[in-house]
Amino acid sequence: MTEFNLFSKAPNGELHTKWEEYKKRLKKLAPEDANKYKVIVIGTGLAGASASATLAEHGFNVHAFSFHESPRRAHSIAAQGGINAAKNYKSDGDSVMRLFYDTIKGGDFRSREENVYRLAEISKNIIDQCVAQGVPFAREYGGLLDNRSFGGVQVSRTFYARGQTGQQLLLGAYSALSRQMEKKKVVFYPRHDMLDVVLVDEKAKGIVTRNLVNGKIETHSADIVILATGGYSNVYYLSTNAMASNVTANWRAHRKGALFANPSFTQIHPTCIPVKNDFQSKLTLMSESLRNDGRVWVPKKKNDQRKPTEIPEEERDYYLERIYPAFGNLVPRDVASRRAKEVCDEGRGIGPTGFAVYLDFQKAIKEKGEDFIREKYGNLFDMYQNITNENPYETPMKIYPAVHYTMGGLWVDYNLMTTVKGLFSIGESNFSDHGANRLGASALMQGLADGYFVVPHTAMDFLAKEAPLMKDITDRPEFKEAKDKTEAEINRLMKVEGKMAVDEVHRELGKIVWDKIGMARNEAGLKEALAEIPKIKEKFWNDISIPGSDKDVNQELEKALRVKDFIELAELMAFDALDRNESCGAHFREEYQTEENEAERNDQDFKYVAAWDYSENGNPELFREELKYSNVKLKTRSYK
Amino acid sequence: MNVNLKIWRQRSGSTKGVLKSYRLENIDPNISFLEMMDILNIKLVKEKKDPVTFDHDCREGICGSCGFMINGRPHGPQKATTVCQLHMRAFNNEDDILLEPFRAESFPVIKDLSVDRKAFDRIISSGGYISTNTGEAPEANSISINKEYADEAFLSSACIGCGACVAACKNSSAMLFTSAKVSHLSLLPQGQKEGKDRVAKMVATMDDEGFGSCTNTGACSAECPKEIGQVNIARLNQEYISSSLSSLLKKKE
Amino acid sequence: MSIIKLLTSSVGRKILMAITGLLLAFFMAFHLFGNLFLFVGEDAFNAYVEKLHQLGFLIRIAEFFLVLFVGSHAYSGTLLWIKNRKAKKVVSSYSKVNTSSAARSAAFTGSIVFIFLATHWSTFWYKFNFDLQGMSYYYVVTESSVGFGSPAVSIFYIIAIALLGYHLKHGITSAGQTLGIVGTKYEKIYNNFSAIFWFWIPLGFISIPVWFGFLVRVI
Repeated sequence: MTEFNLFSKAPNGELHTKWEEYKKRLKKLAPEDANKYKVIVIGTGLAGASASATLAEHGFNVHAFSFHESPRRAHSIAAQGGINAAKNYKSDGDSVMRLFYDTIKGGDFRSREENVYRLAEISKNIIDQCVAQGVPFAREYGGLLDNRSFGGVQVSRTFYARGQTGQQLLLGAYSALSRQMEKKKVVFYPRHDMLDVVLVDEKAKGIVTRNLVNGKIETHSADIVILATGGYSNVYYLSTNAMASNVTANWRAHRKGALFANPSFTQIHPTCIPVKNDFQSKLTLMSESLRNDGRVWVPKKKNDQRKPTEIPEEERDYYLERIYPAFGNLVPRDVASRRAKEVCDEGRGIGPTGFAVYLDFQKAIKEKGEDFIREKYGNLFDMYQNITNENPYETPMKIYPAVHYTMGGLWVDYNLMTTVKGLFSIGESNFSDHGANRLGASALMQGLADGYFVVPHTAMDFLAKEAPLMKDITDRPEFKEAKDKTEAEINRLMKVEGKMAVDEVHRELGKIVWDKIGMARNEAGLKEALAEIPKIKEKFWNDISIPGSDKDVNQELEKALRVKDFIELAELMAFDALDRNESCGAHFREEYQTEENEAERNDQDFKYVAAWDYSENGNPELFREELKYSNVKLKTRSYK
Repeated sequence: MNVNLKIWRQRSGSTKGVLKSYRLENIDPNISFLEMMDILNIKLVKEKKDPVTFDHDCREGICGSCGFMINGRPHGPQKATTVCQLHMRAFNNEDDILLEPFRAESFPVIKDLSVDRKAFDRIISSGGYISTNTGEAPEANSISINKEYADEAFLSSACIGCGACVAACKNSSAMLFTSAKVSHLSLLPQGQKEGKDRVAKMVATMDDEGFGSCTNTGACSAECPKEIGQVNIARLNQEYISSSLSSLLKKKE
Repeated sequence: MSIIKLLTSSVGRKILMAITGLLLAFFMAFHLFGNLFLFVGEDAFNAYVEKLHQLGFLIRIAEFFLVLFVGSHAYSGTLLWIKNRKAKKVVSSYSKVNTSSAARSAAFTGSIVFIFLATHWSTFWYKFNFDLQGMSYYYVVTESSVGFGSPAVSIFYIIAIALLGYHLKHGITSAGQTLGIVGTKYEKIYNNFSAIFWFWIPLGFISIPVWFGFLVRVI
């Protein structure tokens, strides 16, 4: 077994000059030299599109792959609320240091200090870049950029474009990418699933893909491979992720030696539209920004069947305002989610299932007027009404937490390179910046920071020390072997010929993961999960049915390839959650809580990143990266 | 509720398609249209039949993946709604529902209800951007933009590129799509410099891709799930005229 | 991009159609002004036409441009129609909800108007210029068999001009859109004037066959 020494490679020196100094020391390539290299980027969401465009601007030849038909379909597009930046336009005392601190505290001190500081620093450049690209951020009447506040912080630093910030930022990155496509510096491969990474002499030199239109298994070689493949929330079956969001590219990289870090750190978003019935295919998020003006409450009485408008003020429990007077409804996501679960478990939940709480706008409508609310959240209210058939201007919204984002991901060093040389991971697909819990409006920030401003520099440095391939090397045996393996796996799947649809198995898996590795975990439950998941795996390999041919469009086969990896990942998540005998951020172990039901962190024993090595026989090996904090003091998070 | 579906089945772009009938019973009117399709597909898989292929992803009405004709209308009967946001309560018990792919020469059928909309990407590639390299941007608040223009630009930029406009148009014109991008960028000071060149290139690409011309029937805006307005087309035309005039004047110099 | 390329694109052709269409609409106003002399009396009308004829060379130039406008308007329209037909894979698959039927039928109404113009020129215009056979202009219009002496001709004119009005109902709005007037401060004024062209002027034209073809005979 390989030994991994998880050295972050973060440079020494002053925190606030570290990145700039480091950047100066990184090796550069002139465009005509960069032109000799080929870079493969998997995924063209915010991180992938911005990285592809920027690398192409530097002169590299980029081959970008996506399972979507167009980069504009990536799930980054669905981010609603906004993007953080330490611009301090509101003069409310914001600074890079403060954004850094909020992020690291929000992540419950389980992220790497240097990475987070760099992220906070770059946040300012992102806004400049996006405005230059024509991203139509919200503006004030004076013509300057507007900001709003978000959960977990007390300053206004979130830039937004109505409730469609992700869309506008992605379209910006997509436009930069399109420009490079026109210049022939980027070749885009739509409707291609990446199914393997190919290593040559222990370095990532290519990939295996399946063309989703004609089923062809293809190999592609390059000097490096960058994964920008997003998160794995769909392991829960029901999540706010898009239907096709998956872990496959990351999992295949993991199997080839890229360690998977903190897989059990999955974020449950507090404001989603509750599950309505068994046919539910996905959950819809209502932006966290709603908590700026919406008040969360449940009836004080258990099993209160009255209409919300008939319940008088004094019989309502505005529990977040009650427990956290300082932050109130704006506590971080993990806290808000867990408290919602708690009141529902007490039997005070509302709606037909009892798994929902109210998000009420009556006070804001009364004080600021309906027009103000409409201007700010109009599209969200419309969306809510369309889905639920209820008018949130008149009756409070019903919300419940749902899985939304995964902080865990491939382990990367300061250069965003995984434990496989030449294999980088950026955006949500890596584990890097959010620790055990991500603050609102920080995912867009990280995706763009990695793509526009970090990986182009660090990848260039890596390449400058490598001789360019200068030719297609897919005729090497490593490629043939990987291709054969992939084809064999597909053949095996096609031959299962059972009676279940892949979705049905996926739903069963999701239920286990949600119940046992969800908002609250305990040892017994996790052990049960470890016992049950192998049964799901067995079911998958014996009972699924994939009609049609693999040489055609076959959406069932696409799903099967993804669910197969989700099952393996679920197991790893259970191992990770079981290993971490503490509560921190989104990882809440019921055994470890204070008397006030707050998370009880254990910095003595668990101040590390848990990075797991793949094991075929179900015994993944853990490697630890100890976290060092020299610029912040570890504190118990308090939002009271 | 029960529904009688008639769905266009076509194995690939090179084969012929036919309409096939399916019946689903006891459907909860509160599920979404695509969840109804999921139920149909699970049923088909269990019968060892090829499920219906259709594009979809975010199911929140923003990614633009979904879209097909429902009873002759792109995205179905509900105003300002993508298929994924449409719910079965928009239909009546025992309704006949006809599903066909978007029909346009520039959107070849891939399979069943899934079509290839790469032509849209090529229109954007030909000029739908502001030429600025990463890291060269000035401080964001150094340009102030009138809120009115910024809001208008946002409305144009809200296009999700689903292709409903092309499907709704009797000419399969991509003018609404193209003009939304032209408007978005020309309403902002950052985008104005390249404006004249941009509109000429994007229109040329739109023509080369085989889309029809705009005859101002307004069907595109009426069916657009994001309510992109006709004013965008007028703005494109303005830009185009000024582009033509300046090209004429340049000739004389 | 070259100006030729710019003007032969789908948008360029539409601009050409908008400009020629509007010029033709203005010509109609002028044409109607002359026609109204019919109501003043026989002598007045004959004198008016005679005056026009005395302009000689100038009137030929005007006619040349008129034919050029009609020709290029129809030519562009036809080219676009062919392109549009090709672009739509299944001709019937489009949305008819909340759209203007005048716009959807513009190619059809335009074709009818074109046939009408051809007939109009080969009868009235030809007779006025080369084949009077001693009749007065007024007589040709009101009594002859190519004019409103024939009820069939009157009915044909009434229908054709109504369709022309319908064509213009789309044409004028469409031109406003194509020339980028929509969304500017001129949009309102433009829309207010548009009814003159698609409603009042065609109504003026229709009044002639209605009066001389039918009413005058009944009263």
